Amino acid sequence: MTFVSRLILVAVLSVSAAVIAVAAIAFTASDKVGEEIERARVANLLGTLRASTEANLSIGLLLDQISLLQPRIEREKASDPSILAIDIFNAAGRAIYSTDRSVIGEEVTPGWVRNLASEEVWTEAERGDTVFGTRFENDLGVAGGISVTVSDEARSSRASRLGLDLVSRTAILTLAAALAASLAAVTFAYVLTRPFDRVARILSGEGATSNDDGPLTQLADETVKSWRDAEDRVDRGLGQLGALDDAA
Amino acid sequence: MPHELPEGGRARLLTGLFALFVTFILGSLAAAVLLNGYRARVEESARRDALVIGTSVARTLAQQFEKAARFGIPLKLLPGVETHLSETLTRTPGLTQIVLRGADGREIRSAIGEHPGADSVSAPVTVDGNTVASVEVTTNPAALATSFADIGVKAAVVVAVCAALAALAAGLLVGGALERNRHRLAEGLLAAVDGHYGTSDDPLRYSRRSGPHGAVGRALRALERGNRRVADRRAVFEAYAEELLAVDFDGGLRPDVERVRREVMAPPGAAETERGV
Repeated sequence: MTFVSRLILVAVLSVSAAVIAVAAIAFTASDKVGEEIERARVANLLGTLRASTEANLSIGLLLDQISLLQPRIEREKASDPSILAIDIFNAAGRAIYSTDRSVIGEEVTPGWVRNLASEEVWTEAERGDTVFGTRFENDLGVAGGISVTVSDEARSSRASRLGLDLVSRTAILTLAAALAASLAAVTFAYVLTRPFDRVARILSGEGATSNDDGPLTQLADETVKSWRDAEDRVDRGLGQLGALDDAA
Repeated sequence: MPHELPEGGRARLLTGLFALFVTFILGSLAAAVLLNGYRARVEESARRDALVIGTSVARTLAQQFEKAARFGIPLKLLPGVETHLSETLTRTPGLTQIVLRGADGREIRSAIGEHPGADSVSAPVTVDGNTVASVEVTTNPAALATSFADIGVKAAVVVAVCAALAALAAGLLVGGALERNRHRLAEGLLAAVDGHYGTSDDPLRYSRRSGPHGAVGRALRALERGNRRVADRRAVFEAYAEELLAVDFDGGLRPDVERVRREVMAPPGAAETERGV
């Protein structure tokens, strides 16, 4: 492998690696944007459900007495096809209202109850879907939680659409950067290996002179002189041997 | 004349620096173009989502205000509206402003976020078919794309790391190889200057097929060719000298042949001494 091809290989690989690594960072960031969009979409629903629940609890109703919550969550689910389920559960982790009526009275996922400790909207990935949740409070503290399970289909489709766009941009830029790196490497290699080329031409007797006075070209000049000197001596020696031969 | 090898190490340093700068400059340029273009694409995509979210929030708030308006409570006198709007704004990413306007379009209450607004949607508050107010929600996709905020720094770090690794690889693998070839060529040249040309029987080390390529290979092959030419000439001389000695039965020619041989085979500069010049 020549010097220039090695240099091109290193330059192209490093520039490509840099562009691909940056693309990976960009994709991670855009994936977070997708999560943020999902969160924003659900945050308002969670907020209004929480406010409504807390308002009813504050007037002295118990959670299982706020019957308007069941039609409300069913309406919300019906209005948004990406919502797979909405559950409202008490602090003990038992579902009180749910868009899937068969789970009412059942235990919810233990992780959801653990998440009630957090004041913020929490997120959990579950069986390929995303669950967003929040807690609600009464006068005594945490009274339960609300969870909204959202299909990841929209997010996946968005991620693949953006991913495709990113791949094409990355490919074009990698190609352009690799081409520029190759050109730079060829130019650099030409400058750096010029003394070798000059040495080759001096040694081949192609009329080059060591006018750049580099140490290698000076040595090449001395080598050529040494060869000429040796060949002259061989010529003289052959002449002398011929004379001795003739005399004998 | 004693010769020394020319100073080395320069190729390694220069090659490393070249790879460092090329990777950093080209990598940074490509990264900047990639990130700017992609960020714009992501924000454009998030813009539609932000508008959908804004519309949903505006409708929900409008429904809430409709309930109050139906009870005959003037929206101006409704307590806690600003707090409610602020809470909605805080918990909903992508929103930058929520304004409750009266029927005349004047602002009644508002909550203003950090980001400037890009798009806005409005939902009317209607009671008995009359629009008594409207909720205007302003959105900004940049508020959803906060993960892109410090991406420039991350990209710069990644490009710098790639550039450093490229410099290391180029210095050690590429510059190092050139340095070794340079050393080999310099050694060969020094040997030739000192009169060591090898012999005609030596195998060719730098063939076009298996030896080094490029300018380095050409230089090494030119050196080998020159040395081989001198060695061949010397071999011819040696053969002639041996031929003379073989027929010199009385040994009368031997001293002269040996003297001529010493003169021919002496290293450069020593021949004159041999001849007594």
